[in-house]
Order: sequence, then C-alpha cells, then structure tokens
Amino acid sequence: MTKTGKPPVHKNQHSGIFIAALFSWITALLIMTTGMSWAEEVQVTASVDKRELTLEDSVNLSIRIEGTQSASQPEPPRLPDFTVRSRGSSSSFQIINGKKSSSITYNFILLPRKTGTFTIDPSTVEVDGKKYQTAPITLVVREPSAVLGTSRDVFAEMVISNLKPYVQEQVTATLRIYHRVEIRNLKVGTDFPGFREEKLKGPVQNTRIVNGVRYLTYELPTALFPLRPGKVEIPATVIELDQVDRSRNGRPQDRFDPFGQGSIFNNFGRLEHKILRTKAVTLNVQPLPEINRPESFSNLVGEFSISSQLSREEVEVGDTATLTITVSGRGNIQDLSLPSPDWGESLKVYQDQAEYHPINGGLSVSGEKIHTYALVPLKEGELKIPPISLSYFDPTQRNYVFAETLPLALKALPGKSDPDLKVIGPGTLNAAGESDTVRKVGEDILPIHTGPEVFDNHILSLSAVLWITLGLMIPAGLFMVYAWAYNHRQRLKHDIAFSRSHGAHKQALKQLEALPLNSNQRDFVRALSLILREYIGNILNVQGSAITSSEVKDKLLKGNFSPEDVQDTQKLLEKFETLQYASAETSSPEVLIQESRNLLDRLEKKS
Amino acid sequence: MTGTQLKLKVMLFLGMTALWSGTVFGESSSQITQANQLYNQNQFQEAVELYEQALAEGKTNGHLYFNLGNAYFRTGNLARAVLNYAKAQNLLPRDEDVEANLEYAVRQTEDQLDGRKAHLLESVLFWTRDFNLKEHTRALLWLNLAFWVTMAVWLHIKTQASRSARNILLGLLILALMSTGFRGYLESRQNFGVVLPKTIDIHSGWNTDSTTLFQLHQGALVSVSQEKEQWSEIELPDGKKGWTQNSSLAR
Repeated sequence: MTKTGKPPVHKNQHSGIFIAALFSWITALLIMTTGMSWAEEVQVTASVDKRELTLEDSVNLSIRIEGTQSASQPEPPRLPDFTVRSRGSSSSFQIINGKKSSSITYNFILLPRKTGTFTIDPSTVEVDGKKYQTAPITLVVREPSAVLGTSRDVFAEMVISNLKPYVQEQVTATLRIYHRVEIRNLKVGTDFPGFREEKLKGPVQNTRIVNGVRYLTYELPTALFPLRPGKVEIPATVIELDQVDRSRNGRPQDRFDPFGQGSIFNNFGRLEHKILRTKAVTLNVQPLPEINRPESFSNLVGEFSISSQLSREEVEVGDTATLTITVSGRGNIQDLSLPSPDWGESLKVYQDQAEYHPINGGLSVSGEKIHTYALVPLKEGELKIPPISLSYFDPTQRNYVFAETLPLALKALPGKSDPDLKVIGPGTLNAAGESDTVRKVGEDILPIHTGPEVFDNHILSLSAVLWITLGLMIPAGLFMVYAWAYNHRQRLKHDIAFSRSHGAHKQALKQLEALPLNSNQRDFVRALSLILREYIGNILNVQGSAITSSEVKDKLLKGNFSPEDVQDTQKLLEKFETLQYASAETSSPEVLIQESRNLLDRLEKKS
Repeated sequence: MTGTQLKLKVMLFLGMTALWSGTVFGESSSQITQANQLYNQNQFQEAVELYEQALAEGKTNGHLYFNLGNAYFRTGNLARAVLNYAKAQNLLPRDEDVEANLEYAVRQTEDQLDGRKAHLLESVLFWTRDFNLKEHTRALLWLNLAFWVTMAVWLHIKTQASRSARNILLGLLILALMSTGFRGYLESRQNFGVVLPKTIDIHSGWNTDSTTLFQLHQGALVSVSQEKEQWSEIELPDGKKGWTQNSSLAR
C-alpha cells in the first residue's frame, strides 16, 4: 500500500511553523494588549498585611496599580520611624470572558524603629503622565511584651563580661539569640562604636533555661577593647530572622524534637519575619592609672610573657644570625610593637615584619607575636645582646608589670669575605636564619639563541596563506557535501512524494525500453499508457494507474506544468486510449515509444 | 582551460613556492649559523652584517631579531639593540629572554622609555599580543576543523550536549577569526620607533620652525601615531605628543 499525505519527518518545517505561529500569537497579543490598555481604568491602592505590630515584627506594604502594566516605580512615602526595604514587584494579566485586567504590585517591607502610632503617607504613582495617590494607612507599634504577655518564642540579649573595664582591657560581648521554635535566615548587624573589636570563635549553639523555659541559643562572642575612658554605650543590636510557624499547616509538632526539624514531612511552614533588638548597655571604662606608669609603657593591657632566642651563638663577621623575640599572652597583643633596638656600631640590626599567631578558642583573645631581627656583626669579638624589656598593665593585679628577656651573647668570628655582599634585606630569612638570596653585583644581557630549528620563518609565506585558505575552506566544503548527501538520504527515506518523483523518470524510461515491440497493439498501448500514467502519478504523488486522461489535465495544472505540456500529455493519453479500443487505428510502436520518451523528458524538466 | 589543467597549474605553483621557500630558508639558515659563530667569537660587527643580510633576504624570525639585538648591544649601538629586541618581542611575545634583554637595554638608555602603546581593541581581545600570527593561525585551523566535525556530529545526534558543543565552538571560532585578523593587522603595521641620534627635539608641528616641545634621547622607544611629509608624530605614555623627522627614528 502506498502511503500518501504529509511526510512524517519535517522537523525543521514543524519548528518553523511553530515559531511563526508563536510569533504571530505574541504579536497579536501585544497588539491586543496595547490596543486595549487605554480602555482600562487606572486604580492605585496601598495595603498592609497587619495594622498592629510589635517592635519585633515587620509589615508588608503593597502598592497595587490596576489597569496598566507600564506604571513608573511608586515613590514610597517618607517613613523616618521605619526601615524601608524593597521586595521587588509582580505583575499579572488576565482575560476573562473577553474582559482584560492587568496589574502591577510593588512590595516593600517596613521594619519599625520605635513604638507609637504612625501614619503611612500616600504614595504617588505616575501613569501616562497622570499622577495617582494611595490612601494613608495608620499603624500601631507596641513593645513586644505588651502584646504577647507571655514568654516569647524568640528573643535576644547582649551579655557583657565586664561593665567596668580599663581602657584597652578585653571585654567579651556575647550576643545570645534564644529560640524555642525553628528560625532561619538569621541576619545580625552589630555595631560597637568606641571599641576595637575582634571576632572570637563562634557562633556556639547551646541550651539555656530562662524562667523555667528551655531555649536553644545561638551565641556570637566578640572581643572588645575600649579605646577611651568614660561612659561608652553599646547600642541596641538589631537581629533579623524568619520564624518558622508550622502550626498554621495543621501539623502540631514538638518544638524540642531535634529530629522533626530535619524530617521532610515537617520541612514546610509559614515564615514570619521578625526583628529582635537587644537592650543598649553602658560601660563605665576606667582610665589606666597614672601612678607607677613606666615610660616604656605602650598601652599593652593583659597578661604577657616575653622570651628571646638566637639562631646561632657564633657567626662570622658579615654573616647573619637571627634573633627571635616572642611575646605571648592574653589581651591586646595585636597592638604590641617592639622598638627597633640599637646595639652600637659593632652590630647591624635589620628588623623583619612581626608575625601574629592567634590562639583560637575560649572567650578571650590570646596568641603570640614573633619579632625577628637579622643581626650582622661588623667587628670580631664577643657581642652582648642586652635584655629586652616589656611593660604592660595587668587588670587583675590593677598594676603595671615588667617582663624582660635574658641577656644573650653572640661570638663574632673573623670574616672570610666582604661583609657587604652578604647583607640582606628584611623578609629574606629562612627558618635557620640563613639568607636565601645574595645581592646582585652585576647584570648583562642574556646570550643569543642558537640551533637551526628556531630560525623558521615567523611570518606566513604565500604558500602558507594558500594552505591556510584551503584549511579553512576544505572542512566547510566537506561538511556541505556531507550535509547535502545526508539530507538527501533522509528525504528519500522519509519523504514519500520526493522519493517517488526522484526515480520516476529513470524507472519510466527503463520500462519503455523493456516493452516488447512485437506484442499486439492493444496490449502495447495499454502498457505505454500505464507507464505514462504511473510516471505522472509518481511525480504528483498520487495513484497513477487509476488516472484517466481527463483527470490528468487537472492534476498536472495543479502541479504547475505549462498548459502546452498538459495538453500534449492529455492528447497522447487519449491517443493511447483510441489505439487501445479502436482496432482500425494503427501506429508504429517505435513512433509511440519516441513520442512517450519525448513527453517524459519534457515533463521531467518541468517537475 | 580544463579543470585538470587548472589543478595541475595550482599544484605546480604550490610545489615551486615550497621549493623556493626551502632554498631561500636553507641559505639563510647557514648565514645565521655563521653569524652565531662570529658572535660567539666576539666578532660582533661581522655578526651584525650577516644577521642583517639574512633579514634583507626575506627571513623574518624573532630569534634572529633577538640575536641581532644582542650583536648591536655588544657593538654599543643601543638604539638598534632596543629596536631589534622590540621587533623580536612582536614575533616571540612570551619569550622571557627577549623581555629581559629589552628591559635591560631600555634601562641603559637615558630616557629609559618604553612608550609602545596598545591598540584600543586590545582591551577586548586582550590575548592577541600573547601569541604570534602563526600560533593564532594554528589555533584557528584546529578550531575550524573541530567546529565542522562537531557540525557533522550534530547532524546525526541532535542532543543538548552536541548543540552546546557546536555553539561553544562557533563562538571560539569567531573569536579566533577576529583575533587572527587583528594580529595580522598588528603585525602588518609597526607603530613604534627608536630614537637614533643622541638627542632629538620634538616639535609641535611637522617642520623645524615649529616650537620644540620636549627632547628625547638615543634609544627611547616611542609609539608612532601618524606620519606626514617625512615627519612622524610620536606619543608618550603620559599623553605628550609631538613631531620628529623620520630620519631620527629607526623603525
């Protein structure tokens, strides 16, 4: 059975039609949208999700503009008592029963700064040059406890380790966030004006009981170093978080069940945005005592120890030994800087950058600071390195303390070379105190390049340009030939009309040649007629054997053949019919075959 | 002319070209070897002559320019040394020896100036100078081959992966085409020159009557922005511009 109709594989055609249809659809939609936009009435409204709230809550303010999607961004009202954040916009477009409605909604989140009754002034929106205003909204903000009355699910406090520290004495400020419901998206904005701050290891998770209620806590410790004496306030810290409210999903759960939080069945819940504030804390910072203050004191406060070490005891004149001084302890050790020592003309000293190694853990800042000096003896003999002293204020003893290293000695042996050549700069010492590099004493150009292989031409010769052109064209040409052959094969395989018309001429000529000339005229012309009709059927992708001479006219005309060709074809087929049924008429078989062949050639050229 | 005749003529032409190239390069190579030997025997002036001869015969090679730069440096001709190192760097953009010698030679000059200016397009096609034209062309040919092979694969296997590979390779091919063309353009125009006399005056216009704006000294490597009536306009990195006679600049 011959399958007729649309060929099954025409992916590109299909996708082309689809894209054209989609494009037309979008264009029609756009025309319709723009054509109808002015027909809608513009309305601007402002709404909030709550009118009464606490300092811990936030309000969602939505400004909805109906009747257009091309409004300018609304000017939010001035709200000095709130922090305003944009939450983006959303738009909608609907056609219900032929009636079009479109809107755009701008969302803002308002975070209250203080309690009281506030009015959100009208917002202004401009649409097509005309200004629209929303109605004012009144909000009431209360203290958290005033609304809740009972113990809260989430709250925070700032715990200060010492309210009367000395200047530069370390104080630990720990922000504790208590919660007995699940919280997410925690944002903390700490600010400690008047202090130098250092982050301590954290956050730490803990469990604490407050008024008989068990809470989970996040604790974020920070080490603070007061910079000046007097009353210094740590302002309220604002914490933002999302509180997960699972009860609204109708799934009550045990708030202390640690496994419930990870379960996929409990992983959904409404998020409620919360703002927590700690209370401001005032510290009374004491000045460091003037009595017994040593001259060398440089604001070091805490508990420290000092030690020194020489990399070698004997060194040649001009060579280098390394002196390492380590100060370790607890306090503002990062502020420590030892003065550059001056040990006379017999010893040249180069100070390296000090290294600080903090010791993590606990609620205090501790670590060690290592100072490295490169010592280059300039004279022979026993060189004395005097003790290096350190003075600091110990807050626990409330007094100044002295610490010093032991005296050291370096034996300078006679040198073998010019000391200047081995002089090195800071930062070039290895662990053993040896120098890694020697100062450059001369410079010259690098030698010539040799070897015949490196002297190939570096520019492109004419032949190279020709080869490059071929190299660019050949793959493209090969691909085109391959793609044509591939597409042709695919078409023959899947496009029945193409496949039939492709071999029709060849097949018809073959059949003509195979016709027996000596057979009787009736059978001969019937076969000739069949060959011609099958050929026409193949090129037009119709059932050829069933076509009559009168049908041929319509079919060929639809197939864009010329009227002359159509007429000749019809005439020849009619002639075959006459010869077939009127025995009186005769014609030479060779002439009939030649006429058929001529007609087939003409039709093949046009098909 | 039949198709076969045409093919034969093209093949003959290519063969002759290859043969000619081989002969020329063969002669040049022996000259360069000889020049290298002379250099190593401290006969720097003789080495300069042979290197220059190889260049005059059509040899264009970064190592040759480098060796010539060295030979000029040894003869005390600092300006020519700087010029040839700069030319060598154009052909051997990643060669550290060339960079070191150019830097050292520039440091020996009075102005210590390397005022070569990057083309505006280099801020976009920033990798262009890092490869010479031959390297760019090689990359282009490989990418071209890879692209058409991917196209053939995509014809058979129309998956997201083959489509992505095709698009990526097409993007790379376009970039390679642009950078190869740009590199060819950069190599075809040498927009720098080196001051030859001990001191030259830089004028506000292209005649000696115009005001002298500033002076440059032997070996200063400057950017040439345009030429007019035997005069060249030079531009310094700090934006100073002025004119000098072509004869004062080695290019």
